[in-house]
Amino acid sequence: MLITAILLTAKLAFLTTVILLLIGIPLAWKLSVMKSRFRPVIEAVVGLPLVLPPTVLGFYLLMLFSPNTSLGAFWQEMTGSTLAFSFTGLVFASVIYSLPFVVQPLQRAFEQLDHGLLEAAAMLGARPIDRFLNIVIPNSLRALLLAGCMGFAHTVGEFGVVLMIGGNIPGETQVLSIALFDAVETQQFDQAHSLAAGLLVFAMVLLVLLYSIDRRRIS
Amino acid sequence: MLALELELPRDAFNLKIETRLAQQGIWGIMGSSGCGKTSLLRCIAGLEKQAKGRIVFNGQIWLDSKNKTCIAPEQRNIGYIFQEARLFPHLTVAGNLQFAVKRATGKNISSYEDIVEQCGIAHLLNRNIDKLSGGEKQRVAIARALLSNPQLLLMDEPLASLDWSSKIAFIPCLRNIYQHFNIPIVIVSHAREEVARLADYLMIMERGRVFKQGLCNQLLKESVYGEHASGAILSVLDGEVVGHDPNYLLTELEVDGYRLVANQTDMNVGDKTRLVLSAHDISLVLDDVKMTSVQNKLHLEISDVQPVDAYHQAVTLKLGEQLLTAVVTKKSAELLELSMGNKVFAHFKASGLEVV
Repeated sequence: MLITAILLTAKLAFLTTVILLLIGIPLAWKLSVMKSRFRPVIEAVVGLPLVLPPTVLGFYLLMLFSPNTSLGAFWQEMTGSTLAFSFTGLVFASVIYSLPFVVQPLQRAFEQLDHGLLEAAAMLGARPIDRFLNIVIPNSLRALLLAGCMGFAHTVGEFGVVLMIGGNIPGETQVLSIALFDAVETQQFDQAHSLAAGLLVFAMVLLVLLYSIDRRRIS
Repeated sequence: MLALELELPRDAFNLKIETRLAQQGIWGIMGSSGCGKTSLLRCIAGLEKQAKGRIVFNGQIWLDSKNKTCIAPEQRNIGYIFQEARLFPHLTVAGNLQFAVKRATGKNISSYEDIVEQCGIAHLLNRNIDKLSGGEKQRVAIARALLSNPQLLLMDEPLASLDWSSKIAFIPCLRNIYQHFNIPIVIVSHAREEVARLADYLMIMERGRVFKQGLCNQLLKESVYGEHASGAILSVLDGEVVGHDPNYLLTELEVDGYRLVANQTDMNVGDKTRLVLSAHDISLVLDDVKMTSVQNKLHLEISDVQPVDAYHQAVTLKLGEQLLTAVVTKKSAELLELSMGNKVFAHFKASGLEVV
């Protein structure tokens, strides 16, 4: 049961991080160069999961996943199963829930990038995509690592949203945080101890690594 | 060469330029800070998206806002040297150069090795960018721009971040680049000393407009009293190397029939050269003094006397077809009764005459 939960959590966090980077990099870039007055609105939407109780997000996602909505109906039509209480639903929810943890560090890094370098690249014949891939990305590697790790760690740490839309199905939706909750509920304190300690050590090690990278960037 | 009809809204005033830079060569754009020099250069490069009007370079239309034509900066094939070099920090010197080589279009203006050698950066290729001095960075930036096979080089105060000795070392390098690669250069500067040593033609800007343009030597003299430039008043003369004196390490020059002596240079006899002389290094003498340590003594007619400020007068002297400007105190000018039409001896040391 423990191994299943660890593997499931790792798979969820990995997939979520990959999707988040694919969405987050272009989104953060757009936001960093956007001059429109809608920018604060978009930033607020991205940042919502930071302040909203996870249960609120989970509740709305649950509503959205119901076969009565167009997304839910479409999903059921295509796959024959519902999004709610499925691994895919968890990935979907995790992407939304961890989005600000990836977008915000990237956006800060892109804003701090010397845009003069992009002009210099343009004058050497580099087109916009070329400039992004060969100037912006290589000069934002630390921020990318930070964003990826934050996205991964935050997905591992989520609880409320998973509980609302995923339930507690071993091998499908029972991630480590849920397994811990389950262990406490069923009074299996030995298991609860090892789960809690494991998650604590994981979070601690990851953060120490991240902050030491951050410190090196400053000095 | 370059025809401009430009308008660009700016905070303080609008840039409004209508002119042609007809002659091939090195064009200087001079003016006080904030007069719009850099904005003009950025418009030519296509980096100012709000620019309106028309830019035509050798028949290629780069901007025509009436017909909604605007060629992207990366397709104009311009080499742009920024004030701060803007080398890519994640690449080595060689990596920066390769960035340009990979994206270069058109005919190679020269080989990689030749460009690296002309810019004097062969020993720097494996260095990281943060290990370079200001002058080295600018040399790499110029090599990088040349490797993209530009049809025009734009330089925005390329010497501004350098100390004086690096500047002096850099100026021959820039002139050599024009002569060696034969690419037209437009160079922005606010310092008269730089323009005098570099440019063939000059455009003087004032509050976003063209104030005057023409031959560099001519305009620099006319703008001696203006506030369009900072730095010392100086004269720019065209001359020819006529001989060397190896015993005394001197070079002899001829300017419109007058013989001048400068510290020895490595130029060849017969080479056309430009001479720069600071107006403060010239002293004016009424008598024909025979015994003096000063090497250069010219008997010239005064063509103009103008106040520089409350205490100094600029005295312009005819040197054949060219002009030489000396600055003396008001007291000396009155004591010597300097006025138009008088003849005086202009004395200056060989070391004060700079051969560019």
